[in-house]
Amino acid sequence: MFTHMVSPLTPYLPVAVVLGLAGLLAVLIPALTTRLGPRSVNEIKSATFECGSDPIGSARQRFAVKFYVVALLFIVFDVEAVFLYPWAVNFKALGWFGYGTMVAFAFTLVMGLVYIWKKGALTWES
Amino acid sequence: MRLRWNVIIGSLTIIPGLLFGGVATGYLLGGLADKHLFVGAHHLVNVVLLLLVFVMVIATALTLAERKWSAMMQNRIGPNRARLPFLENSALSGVPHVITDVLKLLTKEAFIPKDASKLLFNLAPMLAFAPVFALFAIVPAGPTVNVFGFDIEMVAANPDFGLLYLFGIASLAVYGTSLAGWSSNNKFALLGGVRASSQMISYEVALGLGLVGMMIAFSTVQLGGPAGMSDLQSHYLPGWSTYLGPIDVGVPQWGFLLQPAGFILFFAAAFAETKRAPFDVPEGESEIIGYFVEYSGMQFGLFMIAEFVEVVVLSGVLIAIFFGGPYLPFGNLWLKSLFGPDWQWLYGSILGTVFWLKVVLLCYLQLAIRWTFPRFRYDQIQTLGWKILLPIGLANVFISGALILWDPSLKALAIAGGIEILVLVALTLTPTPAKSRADAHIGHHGPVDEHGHGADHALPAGHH
Repeated sequence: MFTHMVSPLTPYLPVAVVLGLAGLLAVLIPALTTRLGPRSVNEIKSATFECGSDPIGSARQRFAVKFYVVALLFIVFDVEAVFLYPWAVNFKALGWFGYGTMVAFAFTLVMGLVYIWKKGALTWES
Repeated sequence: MRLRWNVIIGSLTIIPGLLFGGVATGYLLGGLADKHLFVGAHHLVNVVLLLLVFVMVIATALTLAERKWSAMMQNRIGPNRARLPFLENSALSGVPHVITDVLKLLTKEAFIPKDASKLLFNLAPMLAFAPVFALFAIVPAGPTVNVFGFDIEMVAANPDFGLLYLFGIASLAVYGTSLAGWSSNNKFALLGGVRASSQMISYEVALGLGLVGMMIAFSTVQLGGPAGMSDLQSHYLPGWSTYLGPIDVGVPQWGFLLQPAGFILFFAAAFAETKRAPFDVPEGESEIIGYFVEYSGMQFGLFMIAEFVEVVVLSGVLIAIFFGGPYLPFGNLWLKSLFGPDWQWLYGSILGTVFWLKVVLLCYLQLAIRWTFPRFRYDQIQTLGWKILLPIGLANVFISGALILWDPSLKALAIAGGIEILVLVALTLTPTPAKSRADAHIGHHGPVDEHGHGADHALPAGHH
């Protein structure tokens, strides 16, 4: 009946539908289990589970700084990868000039990689 | 091992039959929706069909398949308590576990430990599941064909930012795992959470670099549509095709042939993102249990189902980018010409079935890897990500780029890719040196090892 209408579904609308559906499912499924499941609380059961031994202190503690270093490196190199995508899509139009530009950009980052490698930031066994 | 022909023939007919029926329903319902509702309504049909039916059903079936297949590999029987009448003693005796497991998880107590941060604790499984579920939206699961006068795309959504959506949404899943680890207020969970998030962001870089070569080759980030990566792979390399009678044959520009290094990078990185063995240090069952140690009921179930949905999505993405999408390596034009204009949905359904069969095969490959390799140590995982995959990824981008600029018809890239594949096959077939075998105490007592060589020459002298 609406065959002559211009499609109201731009390519982006189904994406929104999918994201909405994903969110809905993610909320509904845990909601269902809290309705259906039994409920009983006691002191021992609600304690932190550490394989039967009494937990010592809180889990809100310091942990290895290595993980933080990895997060910093990720920022640097993932931003590099993000810069590569638009370049890759327009690669053939940009030609050898674009290629050379990106080689120069990547070279500075590779130097950074070599530096952190030599510094030992990528070494985990200490 | 005794070959059970009834099982083999049964699964070879039932599984493709079910897949074909599902895809054909999708095309016909999509055509009807476009005809009677509005143009473009078939995308909504596809959202329900592809995401809720195909992906969720395959993922749920994989929860059982993983236990059955691992049992097969380890010479066990596997789960067989939940039975169907008439099938008690057959290979299908455990199939109702798919449903009973869901019911069991739903009726368990959703428990929150008293030290946990309530809001974040409840939010984490949702954040782990929702992005993974939404990922499949951009993966085309069949060709675009004309049904009832409307062009029906077998994809839930076809935005022009295709792969960027994939990277963006996939990286959101890291919030689920890290929040689960932190909010549980449990030292094991915290350790699992930081390990998981650190591993996921490490491999994010290689994940992106692995696909840059394909973006360069096809000048697009879109997966669906006539200019998308999936459809471009149905073309042959220019000049490298011919006709054998009515059938067209040639060298297709499949991503696997053009970018074998990119494929291996992406596959390894994406496998690490799924946090499955050998990359399963965040949830190593025998040591720290993982970031979801405090979860129970369906909240744990969400983490589990997210993992299997990830397996299916990864298979779909790999096929859409590297294994020709729904297309056969040759004969697509011939197949299309077999059906008249009113029967194009049959052509689409056949290729859609091919797509899902490829997905099932890749899911099997992922499960086989998961049950074959021992767990890596955490430093090995970080070394692989930063010191091996990242330099290979960068080198691959610039070498492929130079080859494409030198020969824009992609033939030079395909030749380089063919050489890479031959080198990889040769490396794989090279027997492990006898010394390291003796060190590792791997004794093959069967007559033939996994590569088909006689085992005797590979065994060290004095082994027996």
